[in-house]
Amino acid sequence: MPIRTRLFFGFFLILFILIIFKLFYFQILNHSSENIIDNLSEKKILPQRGKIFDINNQPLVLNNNNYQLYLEPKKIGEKDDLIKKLSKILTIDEASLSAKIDEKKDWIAVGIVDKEKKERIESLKISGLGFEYLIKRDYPEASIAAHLLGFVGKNYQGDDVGYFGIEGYYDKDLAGLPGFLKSEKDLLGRPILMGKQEMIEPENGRDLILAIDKNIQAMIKEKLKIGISRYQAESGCVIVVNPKTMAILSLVCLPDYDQKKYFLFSEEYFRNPVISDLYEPGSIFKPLVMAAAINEKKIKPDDFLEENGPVKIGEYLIRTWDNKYEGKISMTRILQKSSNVGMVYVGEKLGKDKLYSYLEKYGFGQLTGIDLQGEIAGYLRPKNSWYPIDFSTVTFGQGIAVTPIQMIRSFASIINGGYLLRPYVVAKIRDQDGKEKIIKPQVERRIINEISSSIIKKMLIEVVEGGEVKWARPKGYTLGGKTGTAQIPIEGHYDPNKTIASFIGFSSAAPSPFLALVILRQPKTSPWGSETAAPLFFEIAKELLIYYNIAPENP
Amino acid sequence: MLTKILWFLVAVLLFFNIYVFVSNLRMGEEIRAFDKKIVLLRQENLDLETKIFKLNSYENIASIAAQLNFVKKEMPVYLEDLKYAYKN
Repeated sequence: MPIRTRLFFGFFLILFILIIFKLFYFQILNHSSENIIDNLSEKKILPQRGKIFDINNQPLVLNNNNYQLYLEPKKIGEKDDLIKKLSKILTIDEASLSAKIDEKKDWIAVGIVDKEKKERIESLKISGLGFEYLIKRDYPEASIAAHLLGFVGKNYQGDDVGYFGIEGYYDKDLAGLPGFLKSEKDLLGRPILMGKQEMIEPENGRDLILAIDKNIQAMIKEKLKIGISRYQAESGCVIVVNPKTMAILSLVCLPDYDQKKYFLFSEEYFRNPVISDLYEPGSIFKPLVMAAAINEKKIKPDDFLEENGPVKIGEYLIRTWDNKYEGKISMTRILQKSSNVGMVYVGEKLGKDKLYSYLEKYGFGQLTGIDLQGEIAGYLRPKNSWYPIDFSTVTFGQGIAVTPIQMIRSFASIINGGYLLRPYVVAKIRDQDGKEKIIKPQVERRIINEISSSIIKKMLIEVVEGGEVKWARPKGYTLGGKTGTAQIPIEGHYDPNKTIASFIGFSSAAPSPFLALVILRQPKTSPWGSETAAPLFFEIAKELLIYYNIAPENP
Repeated sequence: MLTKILWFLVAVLLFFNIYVFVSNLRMGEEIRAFDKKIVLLRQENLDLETKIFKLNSYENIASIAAQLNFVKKEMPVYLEDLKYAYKN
């Protein structure tokens, strides 16, 4: 073989041995993932968070394109010019924008902008500015149901997480699963087709269809806003449910917060009072005890009681709310005039053991299981720690703390035939392929029988029709309900000037029965539920009957 | 003769190799362009979806009403006594 050929082969042999050594070094001696995936790009593909719709498929929460505007201070030219131009578009004053720009830093987040603002900023052609694409939650109806929906914030890793309400409870369903794209790329970042390509598609979050009706929600929010201002209350809540299924048709609490700017509000605004606050329900509790006594056949609606004056329990005297006594009154009349003395009689007839067992059956001190994040169970003291006075005061809703959702659920059970149901907000869950999972009403237990239920329902209708206060009721419709005025316990005693006024009422008109609980905290125009919460309930009921197109029964 | 055939084969293989390499590059470029287009389409889709839903929202209706100087009706009129309606 000629010497030139040998040299040629020798040269390639040395190159070949060098390559082998280098590969040996990378793959065996200095094995690390960095060396292997230098040209292997791995991209996380973020899924789209599920959307939230009302019962008519009208959107309550959507996703929208947004952009994180960032600054690279070392690359900017005229700082003053940039501040002047940016502050106009971002509507931030020049001083705060200037304070944000720290020239020692490489990267500064300026704010989140929408597409329109992004285009305006881009048209300025300022160096040192950049955008990072983000998907943010968008609320086409603003904060129509802030407490119910919750909001999306960040966790410690900077990932989106749902907090409170639906966003918190269904976070895993809404979040979906991220996908990955692994592909070998050349030096210019182009994919190498013969190289390694691997893609795991992201699974978008599931959409939720709520039992809430946007139109009812908007109407109730408006009415509650007017009610709070008219009665000068501190706050208020209205919950409307279908008593037969315990589907939540509307839930509004005021004051609420702006979900888009949740970071501007303190945490107390995020709590949903309907599921997270305890209160003494007062007289709206009376029908529950009455229903229990009827179910146990201890009393009948036309039984009579001699109401001649206050009743003494131990060292305490229990009076009627107006300290007036009618003499011989029926059980129905006890509810109509909301007699505490009468209720003590009913409680005594029922007996302490039965009374306590019904409180447990109604679900007090237990979670209702509603699909909202932040529910508390409250606390039902053990029976052996109850004094005789406790068994008396509980009959008219004092000395027991419940959440509004527990209250409306137990009330629904006495007018729906006796069934205690799990309240629910989400009616359907839809995956990205369009498959829907329907959430069915869930009966937990039966508390009273059909006959007792229809008796108490009739009594409650008579409470509205024969009550002492003549409310502006929608004419021709049959409505039942009960007022409640609970005093607020402060440092071991009840404050006589601070009350929680409430009204719980229902319409059984098919095909859209509804049960609504109206609560006003510390109304100043009148402390009584009959003069504040009740008129507000009837205004709401009137609108609901019209919305559901229910014809009057007695035109 | 054999050497000529071998050179010819080497030339064909070389040409084929270059062709595959160039088409690979072109396809890679196309994939990158399509990827970008898909992202843009998805964003545009999201934008349009939001716009459609916003058109139907109470917020939008309220802002249009304000622009048109609509006045809030203070007391709605309800058909309370429907006897008259039923008579006809």
